[in-house]
Amino acid sequence: MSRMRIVLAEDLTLLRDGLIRLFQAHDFEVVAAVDNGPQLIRDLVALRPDVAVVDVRLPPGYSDEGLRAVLAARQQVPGLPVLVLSQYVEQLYARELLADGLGGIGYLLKDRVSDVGQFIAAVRRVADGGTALDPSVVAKLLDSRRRPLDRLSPREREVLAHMAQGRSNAAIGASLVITERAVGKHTASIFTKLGLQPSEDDNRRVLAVLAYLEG
Amino acid sequence: MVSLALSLGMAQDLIRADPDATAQLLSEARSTAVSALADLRTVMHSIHPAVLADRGLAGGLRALALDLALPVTVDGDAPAALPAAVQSAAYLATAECLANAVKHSRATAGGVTLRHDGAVLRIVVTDNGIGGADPAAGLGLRGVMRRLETFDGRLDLDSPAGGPTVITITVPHGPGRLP
Ligand SMILES: Nc1ncnc2c1ncn2[C@@H]1O[C@H](COP(=O)(O)OP(=O)(O)O)[C@@H](O)[C@H]1O
Ligand SMILES: [Mg+2]
Repeated sequence: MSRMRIVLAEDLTLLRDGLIRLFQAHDFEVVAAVDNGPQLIRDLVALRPDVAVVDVRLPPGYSDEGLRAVLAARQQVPGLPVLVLSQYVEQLYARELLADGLGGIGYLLKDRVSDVGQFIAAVRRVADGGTALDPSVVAKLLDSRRRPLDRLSPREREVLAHMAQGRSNAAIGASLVITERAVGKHTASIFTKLGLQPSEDDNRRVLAVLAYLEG
Repeated sequence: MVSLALSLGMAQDLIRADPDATAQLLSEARSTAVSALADLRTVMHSIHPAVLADRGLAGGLRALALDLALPVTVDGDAPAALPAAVQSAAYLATAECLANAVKHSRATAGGVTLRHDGAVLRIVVTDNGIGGADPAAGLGLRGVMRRLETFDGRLDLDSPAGGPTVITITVPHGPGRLP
């Protein structure tokens, strides 16, 4: 497998350098490390990395420049995989990121970086066209009363919460300590109860679930 | 944060003598830091969510509405150059009204409408619940009213028994006003 090419956007020097070292240690090639929004759009479009890891808050405005840059770049390069990191997570921003329905989206709290194994797995999943949503965003999506999920059993809700984070059936089985087959059964039942088209493909399943939750 | 500094200090001390203990201390420090960040974020977010700075008052209220256990539509916009203190007071006033709608109204839907002219910003918060909102019966609405008064703003209630509740928040924002 050739090394994944990654673009990094983070304005805090210390964190940027730490992330560069982290990615290099995990066999990524950091093709650009930028500290502002305009440069990020240029690099994303010109370099077409396998994945980008982007802080929401970047100069010059220190508001949501990173997010806006990512959305603009994906307009020009549809489906360009990006994982957005933020000090806080907003359903509003998750919805904006997921709106094109193409996948290849991650949205995580910055502190998740401290769990290196999970973080690197999330970056790889996004690069693969998958999704990595923070559990706290998923909890908010599940909480919104607009889509009653009462028809689901407690176990099915649990599986749904993991699925909405973007995890594969195999990964869900591992964390709930049940077999992948059992996860498959729960997933099939969830899809039937919610009236969703079943799919063999992990990524497509996740996108279907998210589209449903966003109502 | 104090315990974080302490763990890090001890880890620094021990790093050569006892690597295992150091690893343990660093792992404790990490979980302390993570939970301190979470606490800080929760407090900061309820008072002044970053999305308010990013997207302005209407965007901040849209983000807030998405997180409520009640479907709330947000319509309209705030003046572009709204002073930060006015923005914050208007946000907190609207947030209190929405929290009340969730807690007290038994409504099935709510709405927020923002309108403004050169002089005033008007935010109307509605719910289709049971009515009976009464500033004398709690602290939330009174606190909001007092805060708005410092900006020459006001909050007017129309909440008959049986509902619906319509609350109008009015704040001057134009030039030449008292700060
Ligand atoms: N939207 C509403 N619908 C029905 N009742 C309400 C509404 N808002 C407020 N109330 C009533 O008015 C009282 C005062 O509200 P408030 O001053 O915010 O205090 P608190 O929310 O702390 O009780 C509430 O206790 C409740 O009984
Ligand atoms: Mg109240």
